[in-house]
Amino acid sequence: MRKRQAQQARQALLWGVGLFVLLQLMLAAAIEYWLPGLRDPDYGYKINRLSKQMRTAPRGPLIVMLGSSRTLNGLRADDLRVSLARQLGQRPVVFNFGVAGDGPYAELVHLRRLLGLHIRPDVLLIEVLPPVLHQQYRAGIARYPVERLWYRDLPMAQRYQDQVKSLRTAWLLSNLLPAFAHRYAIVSRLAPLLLPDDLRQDWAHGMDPSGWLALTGKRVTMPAARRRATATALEEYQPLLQDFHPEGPECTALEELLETCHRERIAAALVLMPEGSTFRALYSPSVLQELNVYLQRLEARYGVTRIDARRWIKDDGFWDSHHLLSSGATLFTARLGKEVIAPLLETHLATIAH
Amino acid sequence: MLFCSVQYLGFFLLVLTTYWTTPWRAFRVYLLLAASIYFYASWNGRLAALICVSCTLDYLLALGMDSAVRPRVRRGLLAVSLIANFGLLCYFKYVNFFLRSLEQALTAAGLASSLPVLQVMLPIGISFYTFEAINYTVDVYRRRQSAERNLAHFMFFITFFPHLVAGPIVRARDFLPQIRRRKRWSWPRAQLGVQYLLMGVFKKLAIADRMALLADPVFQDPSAYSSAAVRLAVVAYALQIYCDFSGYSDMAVGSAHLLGYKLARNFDMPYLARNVAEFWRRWHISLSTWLRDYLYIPLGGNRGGPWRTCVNLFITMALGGLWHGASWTFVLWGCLHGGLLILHRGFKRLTSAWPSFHRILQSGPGTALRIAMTFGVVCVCWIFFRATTLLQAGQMLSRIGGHHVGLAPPLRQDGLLAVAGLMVVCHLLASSRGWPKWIARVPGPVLGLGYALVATVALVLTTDSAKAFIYFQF
Repeated sequence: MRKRQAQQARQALLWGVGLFVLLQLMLAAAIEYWLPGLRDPDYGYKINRLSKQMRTAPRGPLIVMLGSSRTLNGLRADDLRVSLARQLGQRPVVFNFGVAGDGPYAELVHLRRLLGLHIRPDVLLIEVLPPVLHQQYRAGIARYPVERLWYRDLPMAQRYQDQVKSLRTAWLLSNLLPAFAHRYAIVSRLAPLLLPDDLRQDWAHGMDPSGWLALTGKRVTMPAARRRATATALEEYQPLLQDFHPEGPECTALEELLETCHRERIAAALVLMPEGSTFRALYSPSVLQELNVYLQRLEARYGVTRIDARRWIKDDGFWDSHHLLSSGATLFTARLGKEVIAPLLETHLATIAH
Repeated sequence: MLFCSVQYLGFFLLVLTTYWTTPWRAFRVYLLLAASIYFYASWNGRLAALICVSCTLDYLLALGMDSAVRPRVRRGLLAVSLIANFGLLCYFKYVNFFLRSLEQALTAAGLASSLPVLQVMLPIGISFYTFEAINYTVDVYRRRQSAERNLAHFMFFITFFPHLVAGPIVRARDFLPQIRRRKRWSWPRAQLGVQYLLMGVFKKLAIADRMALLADPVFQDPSAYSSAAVRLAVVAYALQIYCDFSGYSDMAVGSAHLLGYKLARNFDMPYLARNVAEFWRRWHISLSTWLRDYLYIPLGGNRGGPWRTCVNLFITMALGGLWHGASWTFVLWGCLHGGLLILHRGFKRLTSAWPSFHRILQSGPGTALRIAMTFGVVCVCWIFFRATTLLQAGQMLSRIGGHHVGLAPPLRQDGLLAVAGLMVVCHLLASSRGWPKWIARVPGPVLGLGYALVATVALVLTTDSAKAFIYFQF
C-alpha cells in the first residue's frame, strides 16, 4: 500500500513537472506559429481578417492603410471595394490595418510582418499623426513590450530599444512561461468576463471584415460625453505640440518604413488624417512649418505622395475632434478612394504593366 | 520576497535541493535557520537582527523559568517575556495609533494638544512571531513544555520561513519535537506539499488578486458606485481575503511539508460555517485557538457565569480585532464578532428549549439558510475590516442597503459568479468523503497532468505579479 502510494506520488510529481514544461513548450510553439492573436492580439485580429479578405480576391490588387485609432475608426475599407472594382475593372482587396495607439514604429513592425508572410501591398497608405513625431515621444515603442514581438522582429526592435543587450534575454524569458506572458490575451479570448474592461485585449473583435471599427454606443450622441472626450484628447496631445521638433525614434521608424516601401516597390502615400477645428487649433504656425518642412523632405527623398486630409471633414463628423464618427468615416473614405487610392493604384498598375 | 515570485521559487528550490542532498541532520537545521534569517533579511536586514535578539531573550527567559523553582521568580521571568513581546508589538505596531487616539480624545475633551508622530517601521510578521514566542514562554511557565536547550532550534522554531511572515501561528510543543525527528525524503509527503503549494498559488493568483480588481476600486470610492456594484464588491472582498490568506497558509503548509515539517491547518472551509462560532473554529484557526488558550481562558473563559462569559468573549474578540491592525475599524470589526458570538450563545440557549425548531434548523434547508445567513453577516463585518476609515465603512453600508445609481462594477457580475461557483464546487468536492479515495485510485500520470493544468491555469489567470498578501500588513 505504502509502496503503491509512493509510486503514485513519484509518478504524479515527475509527470507533473514534465507535462508542465511540455504544456509551456506547446503553447510557445502554438503562439509562435499558429496563434498570432495570443502574442499580439491587435495584430492577430487584423491579420486573420486580412487573410480572409485576400482569399476572396486572390489575384486582385492589395491596398492597405496602416495607422492608429484614427485610421481604425476612419477608413471604411469595405465601401471602397465596390467603387474601385468598377473603376479599375478588377476586384481589389482594401484593408484597414489601423490599430489603436499605433505610431510609425508599430506601423513598421506590422509592415515587416506582412512582408514576412509574403503579403505585399500594391498601395500602402501610412497615417501620419504629427504629435507622435515629437522628439521625446517614446510611448509608441513602449506599447510594444518584448512579449508582443516575434523572434524575427527582434533585430529591428533592437535598433529602437534602449536596453539592447537584454532584449533577446527578455524575449527568451518571456517565452519560458508563455501562459503567464500572454495571459491577458488568452483570458480575453477564452473568458473575457473574468477581466475588467481596461485589461481586455479583445476590443477589436467588433471590427468589420475589412478592419474598420465603428464608433458606436449611446455616448457618441451625447454632447457632454463628446465634450469630455475632446478635452481628454487635447490634454493628451497638447504637450506634444509644444516645443515640437520632428526628430526621435518615431521619425526614424517612419523613414525606415518609407525606405522599405521604396525597396519593395510599394506605392506609398503619407496621409494626415482629418482633424476637427478644436484639434487643429493646437498647431501653432511654427509647428506647422516644422512639420511641413519635414514631410516635404520625406516626399523628396522617398518619392511618396503626401495627402493633407486634415480639413476634409466638418466638426460634426468627429467624436472628439480627431476620431471620425461613422458619418465622417463614410465621407472621408469616399474622398480618399476617389482622390488618392484610385489614381495611385492606376499609376502603380500601369508602372508594373510597363 | 513574496511566495508567488520567481525569487522565492529560486530561493526555495535551492534550499530544498541543498536540504535533501545533505545527510547531516544538524546541518539541515542550521541550513534552514540561515535560510529563514536570509528570507527575513530580504525584507529588512535590521529587523532581522531585532527578531534574533527577541528570540535570544525569550530563549534565556524560558531556560530561567525551567530551572527556577520559586514561583515568584518564574512569574517574574514570564512577566519580563510578556512585557518584552507585547512591548515590541505595541511600540512598532500601535504607538502612533495610541498617540493619535489620545490626541483625538484630548481634543474632544477641549484640551488642545499636539502629540508627536514617531517614524516607526513595522517589522513584517511581528504580530505572528511575538504570539509564537508568548505561547512558548507561557507553556514553559505552565510546565506544559520544557524549555528548549538549543538556541538554534528555538530560533528556527520562531523564524522558520514558511510561517514567519503571516502564520500559521505555530505552537512550540507541536513544532520543536519535529526538529529532532529524523527526516527522510517521502514521495507521498512531497506530493502533499506540492498539492498544498498549487492550491495556494491558484487561490492567490487566480482568485484573490482577481477579486481585488472588483473590490479595490469600489472600497476606494464607494460613493461613485451603484448599490449593486457595492454589494458585489463586498462579496468579492470576502472571496479575496479568504483566498489570499488561506492561499498563503496553504503555500506555507506546502513549503513546510516539502522540508519534512508539518504545520497545522489554518482554514477549514470557513464559509460553510453554520453560525459565527463555527466560523471562528474554521477561520484563521491558529489565531482563534491562540486567543482561546492565552486570552479567553486566562480571563476566565466560560467559568464565571453567562455575564462574565460574554464579557470575556467580547474582550477577546475586540483585542483579536486590534491584533489585525492599528485602527478603530479593526477594533470595531472585532467587537462586532464579539457581539455576534454573544448573540449566538443566547440564541443557542433559547432554541435548545424548542426541539422542533432545533430540528428545522438542523434540516437540509435549515442548514443551507444558516450557512447563507452566516456568510452574509460575515461579509457585512468584512466591510469594517477592509475600510480604511469608519466614514468609508459607513458609506459602504449606506450604499448596500439602498438603490443608489452610480458606476457599474469594474468586473462583471458573471465573472464574480463564475469564481464563486468554482469555489463552491471545489469546497463540496473537498468536503466529500469519497474524494481522497478517488484521488488515491487515479494513476500518477493523470494526477501529474492535473497538477500541470492547475499550475498553467493559475499562471493564465494571474492579474498582477506583484500584489502582496493582505495579512503581510498585520
